[in-house]
Amino acid sequence: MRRTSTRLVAVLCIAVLLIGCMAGCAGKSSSAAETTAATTAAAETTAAAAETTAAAAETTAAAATQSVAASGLTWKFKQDQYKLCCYWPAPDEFFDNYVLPGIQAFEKDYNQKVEYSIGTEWTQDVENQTVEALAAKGYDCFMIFGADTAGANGLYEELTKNGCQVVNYAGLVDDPQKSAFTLASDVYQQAYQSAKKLISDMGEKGKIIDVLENLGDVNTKKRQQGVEDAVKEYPNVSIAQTVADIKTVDEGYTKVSDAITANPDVTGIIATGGTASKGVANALSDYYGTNKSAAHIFAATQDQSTEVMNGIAAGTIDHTVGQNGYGMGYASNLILMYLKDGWVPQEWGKHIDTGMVFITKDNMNTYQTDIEKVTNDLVASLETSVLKQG
Amino acid sequence: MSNEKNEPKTTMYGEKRVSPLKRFFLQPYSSAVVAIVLLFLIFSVFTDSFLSQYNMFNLSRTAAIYGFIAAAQLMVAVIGGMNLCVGSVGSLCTVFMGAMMQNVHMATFPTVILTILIGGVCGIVNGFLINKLKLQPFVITLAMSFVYNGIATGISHGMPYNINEGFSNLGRGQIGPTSALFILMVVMVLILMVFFRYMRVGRDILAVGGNSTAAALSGIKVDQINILCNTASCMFSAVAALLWASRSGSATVTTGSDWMLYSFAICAIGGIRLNGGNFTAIGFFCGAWILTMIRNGLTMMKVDIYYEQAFLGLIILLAVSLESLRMKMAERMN
Repeated sequence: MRRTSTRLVAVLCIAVLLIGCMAGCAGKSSSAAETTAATTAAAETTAAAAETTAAAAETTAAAATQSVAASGLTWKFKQDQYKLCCYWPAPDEFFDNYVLPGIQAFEKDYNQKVEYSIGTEWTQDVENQTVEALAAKGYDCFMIFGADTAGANGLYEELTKNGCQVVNYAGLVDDPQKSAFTLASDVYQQAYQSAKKLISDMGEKGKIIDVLENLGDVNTKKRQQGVEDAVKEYPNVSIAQTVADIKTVDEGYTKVSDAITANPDVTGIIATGGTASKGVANALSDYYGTNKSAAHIFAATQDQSTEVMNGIAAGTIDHTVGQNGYGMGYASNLILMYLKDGWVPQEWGKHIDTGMVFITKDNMNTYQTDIEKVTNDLVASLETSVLKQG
Repeated sequence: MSNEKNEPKTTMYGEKRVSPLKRFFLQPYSSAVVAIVLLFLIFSVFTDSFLSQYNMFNLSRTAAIYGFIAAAQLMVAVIGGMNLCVGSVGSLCTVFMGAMMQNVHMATFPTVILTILIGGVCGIVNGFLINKLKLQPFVITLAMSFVYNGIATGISHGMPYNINEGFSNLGRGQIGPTSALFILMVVMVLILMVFFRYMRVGRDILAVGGNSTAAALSGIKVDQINILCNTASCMFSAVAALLWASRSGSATVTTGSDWMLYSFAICAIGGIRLNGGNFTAIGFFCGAWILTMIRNGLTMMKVDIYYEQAFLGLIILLAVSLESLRMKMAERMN
């Protein structure tokens, strides 16, 4: 009897704790709470990026206003009838620091409210469940990062068939395209240009370690092709080893450390995915930290994560490819509003290249200016090059 | 008289004398030792840099951290339990440590102590829930893994943390020909060996793992042992998180995402019964090294990246198959 009542007390305690936590989170959506906290965290860690992002917001807004005013367009629906929603698969620095500011700038410029939803796992299953629940709540304009490049199309098709507008962003998905547009970097060009820059730094000779992520991802295949095509152009450069199937930062760190050890004469290392790049940054930091007399390994990475930017500042990474997350966040929502108003894509499923910039030690505090120009150009071209009246 | 030479030799107590080789194969850790020797030979012959000083240094560091991760699972495996939140406690402790260092600007030593205490609290919660709810550890620790992961993600929002300058000295430090982490691992294994062999609490833990009913009837407080083991388990997770951050140079919430699998694999390869009751220090030590060497060796050998996972699985299967072979040989020898 005593044991039963003890168990009952334990169960009741868990229930009270759970209800208390849920009640504490009630009153505002979980995504808005995450946004508030994420904004604070982003501001703490990237103060310089936040300042230049604000400047980018002003100039982008000017371009957007001009674009709309020039065509004489007035939005068809009331402001609160545009049910805009953004989904990102899991908490991630790229979204918080680069995409989110773009979305927030859009909200401010167009007096809109975008519902942000960040998943708990980087899986298509969780993404499907979350987005379907949001659709059931009435949202009908989605910008989504596909967790699985093959599986995401199934979700997009389902949403589109039910009258929703869908834009895929920040990464390619497999063909045939089921979303109206993909706003993402040209991953092949990024990898190709990054490899060429790395080879140039190496003096056009030497051996490279190519670091890849998920082998089943269409983006990885294009990145791999980009690097290999660049290497083919230089007879004195070869790929010493390809390291792949990296899903976590720690896995990347371990594999890259082993690869550097396996290739003591390596001259350069290139990572074309964000997660792998963080692993490379940590591995190189460890390599130089434990080998005081180690020769410099030229390193090229992807994205502007904290680990990578620290590496650039420390000189362990020579350059990284900066993506235009701001433009993805801003332009995707603007396109969704156009689509809701009846505009149609000039080319269904078109990949809109949001651009890239090389970030080195010289411009690591000012590169955002280059990115804002790309965003301005993109927004200004929407009615002429991307969309047409339906 | 003609049979004297053919009679087996016996000890003064009348027991049959067993040759050193036979005695070795009767031990539960012998298959792990054979596996490690075989892997060492294969990778040394077929790769150029496996035996390089830097690679051995790296291997020793990785094996050390794997050792602590496996110790987290070991502490509950010896009582016949399991801990599915080894990785998520590691993630939570990593985030806590990072937040203390970066946001609160706490010094390294108090941060380390607090982080280990956080791990201990997680373990106490697990043990309490297992005792009071009388549910399988699988269910409790599975649920708590989501809780701890959620808390870690909620605190960090996916952001990495910078660690204090000087903290990575431990993870990157060298003592003589080997790494500081490896020395730490050896000390840990020795302490565990002494603990389980000579200390009463250690013997009680093994007794609970062998037969919890008999242990309870013998006067051993099984519930207290349960809480103690779960607490120790999560504290080992916390230590592994600290060591990993020290080595990698940053604290990220994704730390620990694959620890659960490694912890089981190392214990199984090392000859530790997952239904409890035994501990072998040599087997445990070898298990950590085997897993480390396999992954390192595959990269060293530059195997086809598309088949790497298949090779990893096959080699692990081979390593554990040696245990099956050993058991058959042991039966025949007996």
